[in-house]
Amino acid sequence: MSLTFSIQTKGLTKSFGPFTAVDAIDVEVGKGEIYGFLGANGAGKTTAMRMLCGLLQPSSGTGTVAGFDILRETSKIRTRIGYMSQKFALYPDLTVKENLSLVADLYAIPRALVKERIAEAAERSGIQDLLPRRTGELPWGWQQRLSMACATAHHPEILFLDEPTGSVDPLSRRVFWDLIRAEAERGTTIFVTTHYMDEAEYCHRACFLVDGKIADIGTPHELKTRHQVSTLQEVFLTVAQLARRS
Amino acid sequence: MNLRFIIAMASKEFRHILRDGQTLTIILSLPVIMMFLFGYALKSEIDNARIVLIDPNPSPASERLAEALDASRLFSLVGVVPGGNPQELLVEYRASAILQVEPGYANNLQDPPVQIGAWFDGSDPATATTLRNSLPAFLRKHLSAITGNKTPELVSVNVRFLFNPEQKSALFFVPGLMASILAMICALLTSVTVTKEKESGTLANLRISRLHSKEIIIGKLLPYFVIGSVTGIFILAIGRIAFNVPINGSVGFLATATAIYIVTNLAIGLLISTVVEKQQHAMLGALGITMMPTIMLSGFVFPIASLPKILQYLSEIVPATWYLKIVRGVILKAAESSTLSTPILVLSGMGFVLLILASRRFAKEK
Repeated sequence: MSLTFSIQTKGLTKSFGPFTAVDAIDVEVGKGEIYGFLGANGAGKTTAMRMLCGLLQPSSGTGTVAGFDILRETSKIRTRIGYMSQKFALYPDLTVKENLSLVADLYAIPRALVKERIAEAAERSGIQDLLPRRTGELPWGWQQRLSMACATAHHPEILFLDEPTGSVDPLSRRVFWDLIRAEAERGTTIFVTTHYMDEAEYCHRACFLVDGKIADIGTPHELKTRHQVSTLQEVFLTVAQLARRS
Repeated sequence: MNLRFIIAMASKEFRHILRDGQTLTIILSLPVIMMFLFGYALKSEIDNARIVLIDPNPSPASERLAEALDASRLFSLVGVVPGGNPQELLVEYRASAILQVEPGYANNLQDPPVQIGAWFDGSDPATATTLRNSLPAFLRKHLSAITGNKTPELVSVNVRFLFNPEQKSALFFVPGLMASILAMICALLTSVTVTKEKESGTLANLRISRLHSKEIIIGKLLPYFVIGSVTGIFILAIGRIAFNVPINGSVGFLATATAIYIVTNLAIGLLISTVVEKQQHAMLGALGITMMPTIMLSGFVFPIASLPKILQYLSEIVPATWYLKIVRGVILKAAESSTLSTPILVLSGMGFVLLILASRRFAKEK
């Protein structure tokens, strides 16, 4: 077990009956790295991420997240990661502050630090003026910033983002990626799934998943050079041609 | 088990409930509406209700009262007796009410208040309630007419309800509504609220947090346990105040059984939420699994003995069947606590098994 990697898997596999969603993937993510997990819908991105978060039991294979075994030490992993799902998954009937306080409780942030942490997380996401507002009445972009604040309020070592920019306009996506990069600069490892190739350009390293298998892996520059194209979009189209599922 | 996690979950859940005005209104008004619907819709228009008059000292004045009672379309005087035990008279004359005037009735007319005792057959709550409302008014009108005295102090009617535990129909709707409203509120709300978190993805956030599934379950269900308990007290209070249904037996025993019954239904709701993915399905599932059997099979509306054999067996696996036995037993005091030990054991067993099953499924589901 190496501690230089935040995430490390070997032969990680998940089958649902005869269907193999994730097929023996080996992943190594370094500390503080922004690691993009790219692929078409149904390529197995979310399934792989859910296994890493301890939300799904792998069918076979091993792995560690933050140095802990994903098969046996999921409760230890959960205290060290932050997770943001592709759906907006906060409570719209609670205020911004209440959502943040709930997260503080759910992650057992020491009581003496709660106030400070909430203020800090809100500040980082630029939502400090929205604390008393009902979450449901905020525009989508601000809700997404709140999701980010909630996912990072407990200072996770690793932040898992499952298609965090869903279906937003390019400007909001860009603003959101600024938040992601700021988080990475603080030393947080970012594991992000997306099918937007312009976003993939922001990643330190990108991993293309096709039919549950890793099709290619590298820095955006390496990938483009290897496939002799100018954009990751073209890399994606090249590797996706191999797909049989979608 | 971390108390902070449970409190955080429960207070969040309370906020959801309190901020959802519509649901809260429905939860609170449902028992009231159901109670009065059942209480009054079932009330037959009274027509020649059988009444016995106890007249220890017959006088022209008391005979006029008897004639007036008999002449009214509402009542039918089936006997005038010099004395006797009201409870026995109810049975003997198959009467709905017993009235008793004092030996000095004629003199008291000149020197009010006139004391009149009234006993009602509480085993027919609908008739008894109507009679309780109409008899005093009738007496006041009659006495005003013959004395010319219009003051409200003219007559004082001493109302008492007598129960006849032998009558199976006795006070059927308060226990029945208790069982069905609690089943509905607890199972339905639980299944819907958990499924809602599944739909919105917030459940995944909770699972990924430091909370153990036990803490999620306890925190999530605690508010609904409180709502169920408050509703139960509410129903009994309405029963007591509006329909004169006292709790004759042990309140502690009833409270314990009710707590077990509530937990059982919370477990059913949780179990449903582990099977379905959508709120609508949860709602239909909860209604189908709890409301329907509770109304149809528990002995609430149809006596179990009148059901086809197969449904009789089916009724035995409905928690409400056993709970209903307990509530009826305690409220009517037809049964000693010892005879209720089988129902409470069966109910506890069901609750325990369902809770374990639901928690396991919930913990496994990811």
